Amino acid sequence: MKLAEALRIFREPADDANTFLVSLCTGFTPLHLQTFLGAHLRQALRNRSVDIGVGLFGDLAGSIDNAAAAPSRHALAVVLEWQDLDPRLGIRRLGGWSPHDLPDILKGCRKMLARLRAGLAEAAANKPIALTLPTLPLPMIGITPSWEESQIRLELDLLLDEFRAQIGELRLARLVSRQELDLRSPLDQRFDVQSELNAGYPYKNTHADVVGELLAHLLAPPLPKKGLITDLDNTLWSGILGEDGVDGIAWTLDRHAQIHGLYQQLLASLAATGVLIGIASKNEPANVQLALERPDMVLPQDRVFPVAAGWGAKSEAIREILRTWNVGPEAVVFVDDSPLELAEVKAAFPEIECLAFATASPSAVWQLLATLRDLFGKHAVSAEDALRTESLRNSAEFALAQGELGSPEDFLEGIEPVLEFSFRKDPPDPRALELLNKTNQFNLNGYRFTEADWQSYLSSPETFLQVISYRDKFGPLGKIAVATGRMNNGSLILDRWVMSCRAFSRRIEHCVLHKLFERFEAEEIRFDFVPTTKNNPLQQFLKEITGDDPQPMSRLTQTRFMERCPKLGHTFQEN
Amino acid sequence: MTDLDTRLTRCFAGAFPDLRETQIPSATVDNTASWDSMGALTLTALVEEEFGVAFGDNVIGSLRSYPAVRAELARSIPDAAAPVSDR
Repeated sequence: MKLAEALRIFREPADDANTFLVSLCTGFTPLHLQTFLGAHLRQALRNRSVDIGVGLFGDLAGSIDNAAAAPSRHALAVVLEWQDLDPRLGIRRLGGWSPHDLPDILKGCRKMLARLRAGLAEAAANKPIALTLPTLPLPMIGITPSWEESQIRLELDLLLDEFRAQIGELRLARLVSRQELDLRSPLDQRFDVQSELNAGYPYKNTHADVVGELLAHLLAPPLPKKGLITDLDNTLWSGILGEDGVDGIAWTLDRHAQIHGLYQQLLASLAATGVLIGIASKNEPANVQLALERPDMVLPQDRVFPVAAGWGAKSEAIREILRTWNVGPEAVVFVDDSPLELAEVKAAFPEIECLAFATASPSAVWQLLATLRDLFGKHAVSAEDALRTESLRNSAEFALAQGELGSPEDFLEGIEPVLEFSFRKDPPDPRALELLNKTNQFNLNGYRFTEADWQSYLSSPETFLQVISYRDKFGPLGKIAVATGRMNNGSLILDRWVMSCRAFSRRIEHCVLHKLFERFEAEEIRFDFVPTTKNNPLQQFLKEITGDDPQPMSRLTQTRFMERCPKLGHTFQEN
Repeated sequence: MTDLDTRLTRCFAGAFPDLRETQIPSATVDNTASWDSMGALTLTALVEEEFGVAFGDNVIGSLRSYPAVRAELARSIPDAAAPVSDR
């Protein structure tokens, strides 16, 4: 992004009065970095207004302390450079670079890192932090020529590695990836010596743009995709199953097909983090089954569900997979080696991200793997992530059993449903925020939270957080619903309410309301309802339980609820 | 108006959003409230980005009005100062 564009985006009038307030903590004059960060945040937050406060020149630690103590600020973007550790590591002070100065410089760095760590730990107790460690070249303080690593550099790296590990342990702190920064902003194109000397601003614009963008990604991360649908021939493996046979297809180095093995390896890793993996292939289903059962497959068969193999259009196979997963096309990526198939699917589902597997170009596949990691990347893996594919299979069995076991009451009693409610909000369960931000269909209003908004919302003593886990005889679904709100003169105001589509048809929504009425002794619940293009299941439920078309702040009295609530045979537990 | 004027006006509008377009050709450090040290740095960065030039320290201090910036650009890149129809 050019500076002129960044200025335009940052200054554009915003629709939203709910301004995102960020403290940009630097030891230097942040100048254009402030503009680039603001512009990237505006883009990430879809035009929500952004205000970026800055600290005092030359006092990074003080700026962090002040930002931590400012209750109105939602988040911190912290940019640490060498001169913040010791002014002699910058070029605006002349404190000495002689060999005899070096031990004292190291000592100063060690003390400053300890101070910064304490300040960041305090801030990260309730505010998200995005942090970069020194990005600029170290000045010529070592005695070695440029091609030989100096002792001072080795010792500084050691200190920074220790600091990095300590920061990584803070719950709300996120570090900018060094590798990504190096790829996007070459080291020799970062430092603007003239600007640093004249204005105390050391970044070239291209570097400030990259740093601003990466910080914005950490403070307002894009929503990860949910599912990946892959082709088989010349994609998941090398070769054509129908022609080469089960033993003829390959994905290993000795068969010159390692790039397919790496692709399988990444898919297995994604599956382990809760990404749904499906197959859409033009092949005989029986052959596909045999191939997937090969014991040397890197992607285990049980990580894949469903497998849509046949001779129809790929878009039809994908439609079937989306129905099974119950997710929208915008949350899905499709990978195929055939440009024709990719175009056919794109025409049917413009929202699906269609990516080519360029079999003949290992470099292009390498880039594809990096793209996939970005599209599905997340900060941490939850227990629910490990359950997702298994619970989808169980849902298929659940649907079959539903047809066999008579009335809904008999059916629910037969599956022995157990709901576990948690009302803890300190520290908040990270799964709650994930559910709030990724659920579309059973979603009260479609509002999304940044980590900073979430922390701010929960810090209010009036708000409650209800997280609901579910299990039955088909297995656990994990944490599948979240409700948040507050009490107001006998009314419970429900601000947010989402439930995973995997949990539909189990009357969990009724149980959630039942529990809320009981726990808060509420006379009525008022729903902060907003219609969205996707929340029809929620709208249907509200209409059924209240007896009226849903409206903003729709009302449900306890009496009305008890009249309309069907029999619930669930076991309730609270932790 | 030359291509140089069009592009330079865009830079001034980016650096000093409080200026109306008609005020830009006569803008100076003294008659533009937002032309402080930060505004000057933003203007310099926008002009360097737009025209692909780099001003030295000896020049930056003299860029205190629209005509001064225009003259410096006309000196550095004479082609940009010609009317569009002449090129």
